[in-house]
Amino acid sequence: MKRNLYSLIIVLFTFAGTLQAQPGYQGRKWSVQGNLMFLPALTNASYGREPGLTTFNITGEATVDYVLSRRTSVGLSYRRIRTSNINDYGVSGVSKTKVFSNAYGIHYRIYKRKNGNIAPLGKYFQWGAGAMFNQVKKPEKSSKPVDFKTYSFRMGAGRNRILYDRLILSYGWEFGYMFTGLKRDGLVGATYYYKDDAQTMAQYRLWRHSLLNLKVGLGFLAY
Amino acid sequence: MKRRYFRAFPLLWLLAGSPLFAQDFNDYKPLESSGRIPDDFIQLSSEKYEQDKSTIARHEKSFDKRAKRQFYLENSFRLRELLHSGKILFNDPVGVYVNQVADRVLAHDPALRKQIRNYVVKSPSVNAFATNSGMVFINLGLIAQLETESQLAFILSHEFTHYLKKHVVNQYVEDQKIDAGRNVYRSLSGDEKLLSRNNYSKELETEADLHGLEIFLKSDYSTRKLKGVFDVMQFDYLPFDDVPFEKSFLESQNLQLPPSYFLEKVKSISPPKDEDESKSTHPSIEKRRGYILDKISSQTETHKKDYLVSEEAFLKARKAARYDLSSIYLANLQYEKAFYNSYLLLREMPGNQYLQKIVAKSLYGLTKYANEDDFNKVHTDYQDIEGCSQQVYHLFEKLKPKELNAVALKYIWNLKKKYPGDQELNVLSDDLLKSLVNKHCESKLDFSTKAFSEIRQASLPADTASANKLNKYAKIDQSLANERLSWEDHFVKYIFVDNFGEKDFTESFDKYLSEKEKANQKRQETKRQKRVRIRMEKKEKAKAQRIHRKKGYALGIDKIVMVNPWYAKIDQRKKKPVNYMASESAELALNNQIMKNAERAKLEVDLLGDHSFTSTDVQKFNDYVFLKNWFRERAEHLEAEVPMENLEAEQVQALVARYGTKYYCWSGLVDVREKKRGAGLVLFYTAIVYPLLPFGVYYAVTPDYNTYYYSLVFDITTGKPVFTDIQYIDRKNNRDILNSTVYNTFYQLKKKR
Repeated sequence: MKRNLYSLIIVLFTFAGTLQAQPGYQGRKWSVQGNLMFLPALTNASYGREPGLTTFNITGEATVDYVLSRRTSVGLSYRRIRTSNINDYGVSGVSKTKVFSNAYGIHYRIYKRKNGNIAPLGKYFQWGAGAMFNQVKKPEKSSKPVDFKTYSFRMGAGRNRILYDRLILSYGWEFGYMFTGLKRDGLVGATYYYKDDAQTMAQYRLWRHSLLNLKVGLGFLAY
Repeated sequence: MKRRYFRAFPLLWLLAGSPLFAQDFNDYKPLESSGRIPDDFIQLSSEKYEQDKSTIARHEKSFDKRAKRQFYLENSFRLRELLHSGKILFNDPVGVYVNQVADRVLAHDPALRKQIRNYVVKSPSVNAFATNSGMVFINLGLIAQLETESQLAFILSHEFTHYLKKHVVNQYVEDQKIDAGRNVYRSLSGDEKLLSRNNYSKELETEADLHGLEIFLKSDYSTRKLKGVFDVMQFDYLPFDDVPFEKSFLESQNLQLPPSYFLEKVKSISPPKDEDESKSTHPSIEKRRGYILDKISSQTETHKKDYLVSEEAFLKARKAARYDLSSIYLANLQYEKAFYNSYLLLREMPGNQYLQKIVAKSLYGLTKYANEDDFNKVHTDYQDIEGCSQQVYHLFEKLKPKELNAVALKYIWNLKKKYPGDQELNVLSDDLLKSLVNKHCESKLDFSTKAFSEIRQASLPADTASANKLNKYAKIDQSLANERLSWEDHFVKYIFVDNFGEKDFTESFDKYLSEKEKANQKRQETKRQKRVRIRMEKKEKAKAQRIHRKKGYALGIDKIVMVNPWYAKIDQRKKKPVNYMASESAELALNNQIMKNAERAKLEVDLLGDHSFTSTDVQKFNDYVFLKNWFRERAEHLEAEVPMENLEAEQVQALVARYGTKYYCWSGLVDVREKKRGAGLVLFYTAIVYPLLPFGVYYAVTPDYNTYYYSLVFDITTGKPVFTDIQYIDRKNNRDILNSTVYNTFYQLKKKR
C-alpha cells in the first residue's frame, strides 16, 4: 500500500512537471502552506483540556501544492494529531489515554470555473486520501504504547486568497472519513470485537476527530 | 541685456513661425504635436485638483465652497481626459500661429498673456472654449472657416474673458444653486430651472462678448471684419466653401455616371431664422451681432489692421486647418464630408496626393459599409443637407453598392497607377477588387471588355437601307436590344474596359473569381463529401478547443505595446458615482502591476499610458494619441462588423519599426460598487433567526462588487484583433484577482502552441 502510494505521487508529480502548461499565480506553481484545523470539542477532551466551549480539537497540517492546470492542482500533506480519551476522574486528577497520529496524504483540487479564478487563487473543491500512523499511550507508566495504522478519505472546500503576491491565506472546511477496521460480531445487538480496548477508543476518537473540521491556513507561493 | 534681447528677437520670431512655413501642402502630413510636452498634459489630475482647491477663499459661503471643490475635482479629471484624447495639439504650426495672434491681442496685458495657454483642437465643429485654469481651445473647424486674422483675435478675446471672469466655475456654482433650489431659485419647476440656467449662461456670454470686445479694441486689430465672425457662427453647419460638385470629378472615358444620379438643383442655403433664445445657452447671433456692431460703429480706426502676424501666416494656418479637416472627417467615419472637403481643396491643387488619397479612402469606406448593408451608418440623408455639397450626398445615396464598389475601385485603381509605390493604395484597391468579385460578380461576363460605344455601333444595322429591310419583329428585337444597352442602367458593366487590358488587374480579377468558384463548388458537394468535411471540421474544432482550454490563445508573441490601460472606480450608491481620485491612484497602481506581470510572464511590454510621459517624450505622446484614435476607429468598424483594411498603413508601419512589434493591446478595468438587492429582507429574516443577525447586518451594509475587465490585442498591420478577453468578475477587484487576470492575458500572449 505504501509503495503504491509513493508510486502514485511520483507519477503525478512527474506528469505535472513535464506538462508545464499552467499559468499558476504570476507563473508561480508551487506553494507551501501551514493549516490549522479545528472544531469545538464539546463532548470529548482535547490533548490538554477537558471538554467545553473553549476546548478545540486541533490538527496541524503542512501541505505542498503544485498547480496542474488553470483549474486543478495536486498536493501532499502531513498532519499531526494529538488528542486524548478520558478514562477516569480520579482524586489525583484526570486519567487520560493520549492518542497521537501522523497522517500523510495526497489531495487533488478543482478550482471553481469563474472569471478571475486561476489556480491556486479562488474557491476550490478538494478530495484526497491519507495514511495515518497512530499511537496510543495509556496513563499507566508500565504499559507500552500501541501503534496501529489506519486510512482515511477526505473531501472539502475552501478559498485561497493571495496577499502581497506571495502569501496565501486560505480558509474552508473538510469532511474526513477514517476507516477504523472495527468489525461487528453479528450475534446479538451491535457489540464489537475488541482487539484492545484502548486502541478501539483511540480509533473512535480519531474517527470523530477527522469527521468535520474548519480550516484556516497561511502559506506562500514558492516557485 | 536689452540689446541682446532685441537682436535675438527677429531670429526667435522666425524660429517660432518656422513650423508653419515648413508645411508642404503637396506632401501634407496631418498636424501633430511637437517640442516639449506642456505641464498641462503631464500634471496629475489629483495634483491639479489640490492646486485649484487651494484657491478657494475661506470667507466664501460653505455651499459655494462645496460646489467649487466638486467643480475643481470634476474639471481637473475631465480636462486631463480631454488633453489626452488625441484631439489637443501643442507646438503644432497652427497652434504656434494662434499663440502669435494671442501675443498681439494681449500685447497690452503681458500678465494675463502669461497665464493663457492656447491649444488647437482637432475637431471639425466650429467652436472655441476656455477653461478655468487659463487654457483656451480653438477648434480647427473654426479656423478653417475664418476670413481674417482679426476675426480669430476677436474670438480669442472672447475666450480670454471667460477665463478672466472665471465664468466656467461661476456657471457651475450657479447651476448647483439652481438644482438645489437655493436663494432666488427656491421652488422652481423643472422648466423654470432650465430657463434660469440658460439665462445665466447668456449673461456670461454677453459679458464675454462685451468685455472681449474691450480687450480686442485695446489691440491693433481692425474691427472691419468683425461682422463676419457672426456669419461664421450662423453658417457653421456648412463646409468652408460652397462650390458645385462636377460629375466629371469621378468620370473618365469608360465611366459616365447617369445624369439621373445628380440633382437638377440643390437645396439653397436657408436664411437665418429667428432663434428661440430661451432654449439656448447663448444669446441669438443676431442679437450678438447687433450689440457688437453698435459698440464698434463709433470706433475710428487709423492705424489698425486685419493682420498683425501676417496674412500669409493666416492663410497657411487656415489652409492647414482645412487640409486637416479632411483626415479628421475620415477618422470620424464622416466619409461624405471628407470627400467634399477634399474635393473643394483639390480644385486649388488638383494633383495633391494627400487629398486624392483622402478621396480614395472615403470612397473605400463608403463602399465597405454599403457592401455590408450598413451604408446608413456612414451616410447622411441628402435632404438634410443644404448647399452645393448636397449633390455629393445625393450621388452616394443613388449609387447602388455594386456601382459604388466599381466607381471606388476605378478611382483607386487609377490613383494606384499614378502612385505605384503607395502601399496603402495597393491594399485598398486589392480589397475593393476582391469585394467586387465576391459580392457583386457572378462571372467575368458581368463586366465588358469592349467599350459601350463599340457594342452599340456593332449592334446597329450598317446603314438606313438595310435597317429598312428588317421586318417588324426584327425591328422590335433591335429596339429592345438597344434598350438593354442603355448605359444609364448598365454603366457599371463598361467601367473596367480599359483596366481589363492591364495584366495585374486581369490576373487579380481572375484569381478572386476562381477563389469564389472554388468556394461555390464546396457548397455543391455531395452528402457524403459534406459529412466527411463536417466531421473533419468538428475534429479540428475540438482539437483547437482542447488546446485553448489548456494554453489559452498561445500566440507566441514576444513583445506588445500596452496603450492607455485605464481604470475607473464607480460607486453607484453615490450621487456622483465616479470616484476620480481613487481611479487615478488605481490607474497608477495598474501600470505598475502590468509591468510586474509582464516581467513574470517574460513578455516584453512597452507602456504607452496616460501617465508614462515626461516632457521630452513628444514622439511617444504622438504615438499614444494616434493609437487611441486608431483603436476607437477600429472598434467602430468591429462593432458594425465591417471588415475594413487599415487606412493608416504608413503610420502603422512607422510604429511597427519604432516599437519593434505589430501587437498593440488596448485594455481597461471598471470597478463598480452597487447597493445589494433585498438587503432589507435579509435583515428582517436574520433578525428572526437572531444568531444569524451579524451575517445579515454584514450583508446589508456591504455593497455588491462587480469588476469589468477587457483586453484586446490588435495586429495593427492588418487592423484585426488577435486576442480578445472580456470578463465580468462578480467580486471586488482585489490585487490578487487583478494580477491573476493580467498575468493570464500575458501568459496566453507569450505561450507558444
